[in-house]
Amino acid sequence: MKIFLWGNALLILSFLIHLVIWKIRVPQRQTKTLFTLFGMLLFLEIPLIDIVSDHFPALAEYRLDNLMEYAHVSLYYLCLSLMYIVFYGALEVDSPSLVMVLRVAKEGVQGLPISEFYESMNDDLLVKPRVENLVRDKQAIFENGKYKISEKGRSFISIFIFYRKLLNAGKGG
Amino acid sequence: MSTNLTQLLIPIFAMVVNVLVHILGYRYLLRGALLKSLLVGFASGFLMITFCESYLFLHGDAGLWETFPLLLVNQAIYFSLWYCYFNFVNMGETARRVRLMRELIEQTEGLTYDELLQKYNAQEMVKRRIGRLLSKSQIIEKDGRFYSGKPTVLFIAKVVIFMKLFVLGKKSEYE
Repeated sequence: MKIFLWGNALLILSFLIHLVIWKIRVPQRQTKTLFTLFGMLLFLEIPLIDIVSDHFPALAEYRLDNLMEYAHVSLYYLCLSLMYIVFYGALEVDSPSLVMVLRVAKEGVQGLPISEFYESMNDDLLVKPRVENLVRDKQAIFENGKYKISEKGRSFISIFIFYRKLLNAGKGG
Repeated sequence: MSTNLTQLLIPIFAMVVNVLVHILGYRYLLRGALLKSLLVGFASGFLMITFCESYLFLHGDAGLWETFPLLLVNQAIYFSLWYCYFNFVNMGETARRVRLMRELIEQTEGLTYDELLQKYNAQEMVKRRIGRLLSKSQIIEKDGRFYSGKPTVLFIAKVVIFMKLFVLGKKSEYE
């Protein structure tokens, strides 16, 4: 119960701080900021839990007793934070499949004409922003009118290429 | 029963089981069925946690009220790790960024925007996604029109929109 309580308390605190920052101003590099924020609270976990359980007698019975319990709270907090940061990716960038399903649903029983649908899904909407993001995130460089993969991009994509080979799967996309 | 090293390692061990079952399942048993193999992997890891916790409960001196919260915590840790893994595998399959980078890594001299579009463009992207949505009956094609099908992806889309509004205050990155 202690792990559950402290792990969730830390998660709620991180989420609230994240919401407050986002309401003031959405950061330019959103995922990076989330990693920093959730990471900072992971570092502050031990003193935070000790201070709170010392100052609130009602929480004394939930005081963590040994290093393994702190480690378990850290693991719980770390994994659920990672899950949120991964989920946040779907908030930051529109998923084409979800946009498609919503567009079709919006038309209701009369349906969406296929030709109209294909016309609205063009390169400027679906490809250009992602290419620009690659340059912004330094995963590709743009020089002399050409896009080239950067060292950062090469290491990032190598993991996916390795895993796709392991699965014996194609290029994807 | 307080936390010990075994309790800490159970979700990690379940995750290893999940990855192995997924890779072997995708390669040899459910060829090409990515979602099914991911779900089979998830179920294997989940069963592994339940088995390990039951074993510790039956062979230890801890009561149900001590074991049950730890089971929940470890299942939550495992689910979070699985969700990250699911997204990692899914990114390799569907992410535009990953596909564009795969095209760029194959061309050491680089590609102009038009050359990049020849290799991967909105038309191909949409065709692949429509194919996946049709094959899973999430949309239906009839008389030159698309209609809504099963509600799973639509429900996910609505949850994502709700969260976008809650966190970012807007429905789309283009707003």
